[in-house]
Amino acid sequence: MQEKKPALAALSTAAMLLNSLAPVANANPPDQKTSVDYRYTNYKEGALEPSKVAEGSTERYTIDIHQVKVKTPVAGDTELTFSGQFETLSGASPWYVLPNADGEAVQVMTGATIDESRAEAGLDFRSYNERSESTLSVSYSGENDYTSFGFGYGGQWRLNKNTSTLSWGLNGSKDYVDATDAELYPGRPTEETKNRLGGYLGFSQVMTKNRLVGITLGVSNLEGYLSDPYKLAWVAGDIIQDSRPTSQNNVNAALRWREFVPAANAALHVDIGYYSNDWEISSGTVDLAWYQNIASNWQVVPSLRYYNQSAAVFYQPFYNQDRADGFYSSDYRLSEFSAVSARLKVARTFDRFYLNFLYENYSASGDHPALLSFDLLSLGIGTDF
Amino acid sequence: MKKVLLLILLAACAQGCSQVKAWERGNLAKAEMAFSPDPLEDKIRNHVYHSKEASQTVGAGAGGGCGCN
Amino acid sequence: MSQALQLHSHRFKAMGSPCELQYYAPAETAGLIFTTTRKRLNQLEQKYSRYLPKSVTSQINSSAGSGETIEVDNETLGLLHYADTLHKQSDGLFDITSGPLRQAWNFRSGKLPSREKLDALLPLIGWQKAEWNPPHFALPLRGMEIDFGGFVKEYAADQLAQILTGQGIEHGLVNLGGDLVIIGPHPDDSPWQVGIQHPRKTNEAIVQLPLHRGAIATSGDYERFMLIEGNRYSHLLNPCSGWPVKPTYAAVTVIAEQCLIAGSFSSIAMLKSEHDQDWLSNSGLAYLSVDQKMQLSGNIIETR
Repeated sequence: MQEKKPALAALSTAAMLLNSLAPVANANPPDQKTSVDYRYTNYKEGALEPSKVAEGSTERYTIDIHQVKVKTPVAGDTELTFSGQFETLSGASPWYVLPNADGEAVQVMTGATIDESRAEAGLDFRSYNERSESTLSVSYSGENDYTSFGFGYGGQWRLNKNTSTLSWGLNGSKDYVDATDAELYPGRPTEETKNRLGGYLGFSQVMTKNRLVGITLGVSNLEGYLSDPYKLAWVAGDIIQDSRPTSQNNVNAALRWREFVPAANAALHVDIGYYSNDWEISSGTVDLAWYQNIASNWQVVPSLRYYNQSAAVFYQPFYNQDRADGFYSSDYRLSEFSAVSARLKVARTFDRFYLNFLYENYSASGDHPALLSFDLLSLGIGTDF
Repeated sequence: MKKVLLLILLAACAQGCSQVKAWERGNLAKAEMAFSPDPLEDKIRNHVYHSKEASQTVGAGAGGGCGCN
Repeated sequence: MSQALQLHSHRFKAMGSPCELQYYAPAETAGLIFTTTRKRLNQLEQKYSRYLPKSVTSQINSSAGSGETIEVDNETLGLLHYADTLHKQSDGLFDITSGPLRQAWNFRSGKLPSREKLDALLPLIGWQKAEWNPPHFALPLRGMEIDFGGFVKEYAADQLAQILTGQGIEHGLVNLGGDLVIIGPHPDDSPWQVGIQHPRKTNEAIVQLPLHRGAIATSGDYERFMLIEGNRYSHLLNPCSGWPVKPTYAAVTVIAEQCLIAGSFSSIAMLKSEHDQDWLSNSGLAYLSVDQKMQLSGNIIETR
């Protein structure tokens, strides 16, 4: 009815313009703190049963891993994270499988103890806006026989008054395989490469004031040398090089549920994963964790993981006949198995730093003679300032 | 499996997807409610699973690989 | 489902005025809400205070007459554009370049400024003299200055209210030295009682206004003034003559959706009332005026 008076109209328009030009308060910006984290992990694979080993050591890998992460603000809305990892490994690894006198699969281990090291470095640059953020990542991993360069770019949009988050990302790597002792073992690959490209889309939603649920869908493609340079296959009495297709297409889906239980002052994590590839391997994972707060600065986290996968279409522990497609692999990683791991983490926060200790026991069961079990001990410490 | 995931998500929502106010999100902001409360721990465990199991899942970050014998 | 709401009130001093935040929220979130709003208020104060040498205002003022042009950021651009609109809509009476007149008018001295002093200062005043080619701004004469003090507090009140709303606050108010934004009524839906300062009695309300939501601002001749031989000389200066206007009103209170609008209309109404008493009633806004005989009028329904 009433038209807006000229002065009111003019000043309202100017005020509206001013409000649109005002910097909006950041909802959850980078915290403007520098943080330093360090973690030491000892990973030790369980010995194989002597009855399942035809030749070589029953002892397997032991790996010592040092990780550091340093995060530092660059400007009010950007931060840089450097992460480094150094690991030394020693032990014997499964080489090939052959049938014993009873026709049962038995493992031949590598003869010499392998001593190797791997170094990894990564850099993440995160840039933050009120409604969105993005991260650019680069990484390098180097071993004497394997080099990998990786990149990633991912982002998030916060929608619906920050109760929904849409995330996406692309990442890939270029890997170079140059097996050691290729002159001693004809057939071992040199100067092979592998390319990986992947992408994911995720959505998470604040369901209630105590519940956050997210789903992620990912696809990836690998092209190039996808065999294991150090593994062999027994084919009707002949020992030949592990040989897999040169491409692999993967899809994965994950559901992550976080539920805070106020009565217990604890949080329940339920992670369910599904994976499938065009080598006919599919897998399911269920991971449950209970984050129990005790007093104000202790936390105890028991957790349990169950994993199950089907075998690759061309996998056999050993081959009595040639395969028409020429693919052979007796790698336990491509066999059908299920694995259970149990973990316990104890964490304590102090005024200026935190300390936590983690133990994990993993044990796989299936038909392959060299299925894995390991114990993992890990100590984390960190601070920010 | 995908249908199961979808059903679980619907079930999660059925209990009420009312708009949660900013000041009601205190519990959600706790460290233990993060998807990944300890990134270094997740990194090392995922690295182990990735190198000892067949699954090749895609997540955030750079996609660097390893020899992983 | 929802946690018990508690009333939190914070009183502090900022922008040279007593300030107050009151809002209902669960106890554990109050600290964060308060720090977020204080941060924004400090930021605005640091950015626009004419007393701080690093502020945008000081940078512009110190480069006056140097031939240097300053490229302003978006927010300052918005404020300058608003100042330009204020100048036009007030027919030149609301002028952010009036600052140098303060050198002549010392309201604590009880003395009127000399003719010579005012004559020397008047050439330094006039928004139309400013070189304003967005986003570039320059003051052409040494000694010229700008001051956002006339409306930055109102703008800040709007900004803080926006932050509180963004944090999920539905019941509360922001009060920056009498410039108020009511975010929403008390949780039982009862209104906030806003006391309007009595123009002649310190710390006494002339009327209480119940307000559920909206912004309210008051301008009066009592903020800084001196009485000489029965004549009231207030801080409401006419930038053309350099002398205080003789407002018909002792105070004008305006209610609007935004505090910036309420403040601008109450200020312009005071400045204009000397010659145009109808401007306020024609503004289209809810207002309450107090004349020099302390008679209330306006289109706001009074409930005492």
